[in-house]
Amino acid sequence: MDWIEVSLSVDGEAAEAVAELLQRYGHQGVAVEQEGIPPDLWDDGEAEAPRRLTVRAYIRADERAEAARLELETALGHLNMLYPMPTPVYKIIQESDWAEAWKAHYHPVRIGRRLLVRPPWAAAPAREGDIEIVLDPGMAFGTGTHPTTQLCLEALEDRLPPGARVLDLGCGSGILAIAAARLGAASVLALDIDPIAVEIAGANIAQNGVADTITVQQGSLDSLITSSRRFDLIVVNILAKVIIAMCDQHLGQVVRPGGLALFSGIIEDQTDDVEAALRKTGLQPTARRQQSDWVLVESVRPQP
Amino acid sequence: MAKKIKAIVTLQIQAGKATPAPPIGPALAQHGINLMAFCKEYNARTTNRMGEVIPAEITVFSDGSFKFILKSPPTAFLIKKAAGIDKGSSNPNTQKIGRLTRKQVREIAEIKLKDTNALDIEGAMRQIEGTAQQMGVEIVD
Repeated sequence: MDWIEVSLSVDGEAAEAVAELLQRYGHQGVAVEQEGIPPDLWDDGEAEAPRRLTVRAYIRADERAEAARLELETALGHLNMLYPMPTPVYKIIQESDWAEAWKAHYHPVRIGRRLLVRPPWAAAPAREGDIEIVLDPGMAFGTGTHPTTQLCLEALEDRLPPGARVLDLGCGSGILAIAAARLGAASVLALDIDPIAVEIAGANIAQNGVADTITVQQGSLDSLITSSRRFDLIVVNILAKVIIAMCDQHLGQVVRPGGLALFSGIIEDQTDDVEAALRKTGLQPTARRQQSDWVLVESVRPQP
Repeated sequence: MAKKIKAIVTLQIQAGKATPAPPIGPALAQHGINLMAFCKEYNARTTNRMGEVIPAEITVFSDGSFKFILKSPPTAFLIKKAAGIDKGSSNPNTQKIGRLTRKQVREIAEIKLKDTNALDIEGAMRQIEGTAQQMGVEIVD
């Protein structure tokens, strides 16, 4: 069974009426996608209301499809008298096992010298000495495919001292905490403010058999500053402006004197600002790593 | 984590009945979203509101991970419910099929205000009236 995708590109004002109309013919509802997402849009709550939207519905390509198309076009013609309507675009979509099709986006990824990140369904030939991380992509950032995550994994492989006490602040899927545990950390605390991320990280940690080493909790920097816990290495893969804000909240204090701190999620031209903020919180930047326009800053808390 | 946004998709679907079939399957699979994870979570969060259309706004990040929030029911759904009709007019210009009072428009605007780009309740009411007009629903005092 094939499907016919009907789509119309409309402004926000017409989207509701068009969605209502398509809902009458579409299978189980409609999808409305924002057009023209800017290349530098971040998940920081500053998105503007969308100007244009694509409304899509899916009709079974059977003997009733042509009648549905005619009815739809007639109704759009009437709507056009009240508000200008674009011409609908039709596309044949082949029936697919969509529950499985999305998996084609994920493949095993080799990172650094020994790390191999793979989704549960994709086997990869292991080499001697490989450290394998199995990760089910889902509702938490950190699938191993993004440069910011890859930079952290490489830095952990190079810099993590054996037996270290590690903090993963903003753990997302838990990928960095898992890597730290597999690379020889004695203990890892993985924190995220998002309860869904905490739940997913917990499942990924269990799947990788490192639950004995990693504690995953919902929490933020505030809860650590007031405790006496200090870490040999912290890894923070968030965003430049969040890192800078954390520096104002004494982020450097959670690193023991002589300990290391890795910061990622930084665009190249934000790096100087992040390094200035790190110095103010008592951390000394020591090196940068870069992949495309993403930068990771390595730093140390100097001995008194 | 450094969450760069790749796409924002809103699905207008029946509460508690998400499946990988269209529109969810083709709309989300192209972005590499774990469909079963979405369907399971959506159904769990909406199962106590069966019979309603509860939109889910899904934000897709650059690495294929995602989050979603539930939005208020679509304006058209609220208009149909308030006017007591099953669907909008197929010829809204000449065939009026229902009526809403300004009080009902205000009630819908209050529900929708947080999800629209209207600056105030009057702005949201104007948007509701526009959608009602496009559905063949008259506004009466």
